[in-house]
Amino acid sequence: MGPLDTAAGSPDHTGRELRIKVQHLNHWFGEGDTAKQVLTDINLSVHAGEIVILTGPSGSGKTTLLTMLGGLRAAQSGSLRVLGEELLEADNTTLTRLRRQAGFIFQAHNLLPYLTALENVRFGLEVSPVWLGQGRLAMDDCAAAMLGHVGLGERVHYYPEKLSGGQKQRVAIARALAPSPRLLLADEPTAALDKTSGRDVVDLFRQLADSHGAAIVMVTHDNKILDIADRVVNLEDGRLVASA
Amino acid sequence: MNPFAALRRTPLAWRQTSHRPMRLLAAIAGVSFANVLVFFQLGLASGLYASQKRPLQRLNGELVMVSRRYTNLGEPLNLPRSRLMQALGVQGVEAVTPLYIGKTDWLNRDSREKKQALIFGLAPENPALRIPELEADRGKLLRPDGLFFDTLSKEAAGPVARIVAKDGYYDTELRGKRAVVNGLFTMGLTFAADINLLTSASNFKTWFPDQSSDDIQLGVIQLQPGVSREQVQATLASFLDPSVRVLTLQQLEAVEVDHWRNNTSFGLIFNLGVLVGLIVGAIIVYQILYSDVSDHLPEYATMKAMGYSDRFVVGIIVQESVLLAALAFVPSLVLAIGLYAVLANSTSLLIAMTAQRAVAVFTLTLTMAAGSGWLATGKLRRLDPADIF
Repeated sequence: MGPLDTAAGSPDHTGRELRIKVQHLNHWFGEGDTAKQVLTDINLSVHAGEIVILTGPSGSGKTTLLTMLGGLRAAQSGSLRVLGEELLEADNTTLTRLRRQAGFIFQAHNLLPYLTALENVRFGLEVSPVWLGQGRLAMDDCAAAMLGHVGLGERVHYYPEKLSGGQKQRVAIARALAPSPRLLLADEPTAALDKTSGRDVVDLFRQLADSHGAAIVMVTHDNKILDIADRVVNLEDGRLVASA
Repeated sequence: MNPFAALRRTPLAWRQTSHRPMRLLAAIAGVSFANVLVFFQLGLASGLYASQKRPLQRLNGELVMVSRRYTNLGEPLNLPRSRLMQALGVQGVEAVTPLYIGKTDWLNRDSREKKQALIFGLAPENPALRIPELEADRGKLLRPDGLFFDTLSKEAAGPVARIVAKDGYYDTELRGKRAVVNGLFTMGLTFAADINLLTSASNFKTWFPDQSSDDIQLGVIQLQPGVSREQVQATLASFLDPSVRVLTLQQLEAVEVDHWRNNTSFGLIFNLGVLVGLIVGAIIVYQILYSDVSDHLPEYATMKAMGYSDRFVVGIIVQESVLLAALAFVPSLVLAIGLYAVLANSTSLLIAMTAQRAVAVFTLTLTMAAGSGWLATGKLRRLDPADIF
């Protein structure tokens, strides 16, 4: 097996559940003659409890792959199984169902400006009927605890406009982590953070992976946090070219 | 799922709407203004229609007989008095009395300006209209050229009321014959004329010599106490000549309003006014919500990426639109009630707020707002969360 076949179809040697299984995935932007291929023959498996870092130059298709893993786009060709759902030509309902189970951290925090930090995190919980069923107090407790974990325990009732860029990013991280997702996808999560809080955040990722068995895929250029990864895979021009 | 789960959600629509209070106030002011426009048109329309009923509300009986082709008070049509007398033979009928109605020019003595007058001829022994001023001084009507003048007539008629109040009479002429206003009454105008006049049946015939002595324009039928008007009406309809018909007062009022609403441009004009008000409101709501959607596109994309459905995201905007409409309704209702009071005072139109109209405007404004809220979400429905990242 060549390096391109990283874990694809491999036996579940870790004894852990397979959370992501990508096989011969191709993806194009545009249609017809102007279609541009952005992903070519991607094969990738990620197990529960595993942290995979995705690197590569800009324009290599990292974000596209990440958005596909998070159910933001349906797959066009090949096979893309995430949390047991096949996303090949998946409809909106399937994609929405998957998105609810995955946590997503974007480069831009995109907090709701009219909600406090606590409410923004709670809004991330409310998408789950289970959390909604537990009531607002339970959700507030969980949200406050998670804000404490990212170092914002003193600022739970601040509106985003009163927070610095790094603090807003940490609220967004708390929003994604609070529901303890089975799959966490993060696009440059530490870009807006200083060294210490960046380290704190990836420690939280490690904790989520270890204690809740979350599978984590992270796009990053931040060399300081590469050590957190179980594997580093490299995308170049839409192809997985190396893995570590 | 717990049915109260929705209450546990963060009220996003409300939080977003109330986050910028000044913007919210401006929005409420705009939508209220549109509502007041709608209330104004509806109030004016109903006031004008209600004002058309004023002479009819004075009719001194339970049933009326009119020509089959009768459409409104301003176009009196003759019917034979003998038809009215036939009604006397029906059980339950106490008395009948004719009402003569004529339209004529009125000459303003000072400006030499001609105005339209509606003149009612009454039988002095049993007046077909209830006029309290007449009850007090019935003898005045008997004077051969005597007239009563409606104090609510248009100013252009001349300073008649003032002169009569001062001197006791006002000399003029009617249809080329001498006439003396020697009494005043207060009833209120209709669209039919600028001036209302009252006189005796015999004077009426002097001024309208072209009418035969048997011609009347409206017959009032007075019933004995406790008699069913519907029953008498049915009996009369069963034997009367088809050239006449018998109506209850309510039916007659409905015919009058129906005429002004449907046979003239009034209905169309007022409906257009209401439509303009609604469109103004719709545009304001659309503008506010469209800019809200455009300003917060990344946040909405994030919601979709978090697993919130299209319906949920669109629902936030529609809820905001309904919220705006509901918040704007209260001040607009208060403003409209004030506006009605001002209009009623300054125009003598019968304009008042009714619960029915308030409910109708509330329903219209909610529907309008929800509709434009939904239109404003076009971008949102097409929004693909993947395109934002």
